[in-house]
Amino acid sequence: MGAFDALGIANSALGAHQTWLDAIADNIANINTVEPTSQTAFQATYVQFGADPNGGVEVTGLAKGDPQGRLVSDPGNPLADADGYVRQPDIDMASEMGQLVMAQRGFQAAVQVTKTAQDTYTAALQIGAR
Amino acid sequence: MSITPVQFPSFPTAPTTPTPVAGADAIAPSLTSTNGVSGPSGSGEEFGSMVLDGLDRLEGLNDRADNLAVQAATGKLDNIHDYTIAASEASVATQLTVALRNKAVDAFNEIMRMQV
Amino acid sequence: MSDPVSFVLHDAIDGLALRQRVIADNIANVDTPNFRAHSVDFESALSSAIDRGTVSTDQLQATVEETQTPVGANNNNVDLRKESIAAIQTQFQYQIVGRAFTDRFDRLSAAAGSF
Repeated sequence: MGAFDALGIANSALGAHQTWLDAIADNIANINTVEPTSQTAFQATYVQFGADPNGGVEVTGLAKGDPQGRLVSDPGNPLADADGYVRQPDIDMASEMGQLVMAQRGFQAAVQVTKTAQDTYTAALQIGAR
Repeated sequence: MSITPVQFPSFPTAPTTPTPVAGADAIAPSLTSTNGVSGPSGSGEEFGSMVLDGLDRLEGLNDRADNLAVQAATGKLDNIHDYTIAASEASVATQLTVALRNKAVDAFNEIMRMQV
Repeated sequence: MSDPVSFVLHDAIDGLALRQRVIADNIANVDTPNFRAHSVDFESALSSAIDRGTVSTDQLQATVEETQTPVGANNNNVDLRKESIAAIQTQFQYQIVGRAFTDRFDRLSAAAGSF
């Protein structure tokens, strides 16, 4: 119903930010996942948002990080190649933590929108009520 | 729901040319003059038509509130306040019309009770 | 009251009560394996009945169908966020239709009560 568009839009924001949080959690969890040089490094997931023409936000795509990763010298690692290199993921912890805060704030703001929308509907129902 | 308009009895029309009464001019010249003021008939018709207009407007407000309630029931309402404002308007108009009707009936009864 | 608007409101409030029950069932089964969420649709049947002009009470054709949300863990497709938002919306819609009933009765009492 058109009267409750605000709730549907806030719901789309909750879903999109939840996806973002999941991706960031996955990136942070795998920040120390090393791969041998013969395989691709762990690729971070970057969530892409797009505005929904009918109102709200939607996830338009999931971009993957650099498959080359960072070549790091670690001769003692059982996965190291002949030259002693392994692939580490190309993820910046500081950037991920910053995005974590942004995703959480976005989620909280969307929750606040649902609460405010409910207060608005209640106020509209009070007009002329006995 | 429809409200059938109430027919008010038309007040007795005043004669436009008063029958000449000897000496009446001296006593009360204004009563026998035809000075263009429409008599009780004019105010009776105006009041009646005003009440009928009010009833039509009330029926319109009622219909608007009912339409918005049906829109809310079928999930086509665009704003909650559209319905609640229309319902408040219809409710206030109903109470106002009822009060007017009560006063009009009281006034009519009062006039009918007058000793003539 | 037996006029068409009352029938429409009555059907709507019956449909909304059914929807509330189904949503509660979905939320209760958010972790049940192999569970499929359901949704209620009475608005389309009600709208077409209104357009045809054949509204009477006890004619509500509410359909309860499985939703198409993607299946997650446990072969369960309940989207908790969507169901919570739907529960809020149903509650407010119920309040609006309840207001509609009350307002119509009040208008009728005001017109009739002063005789």
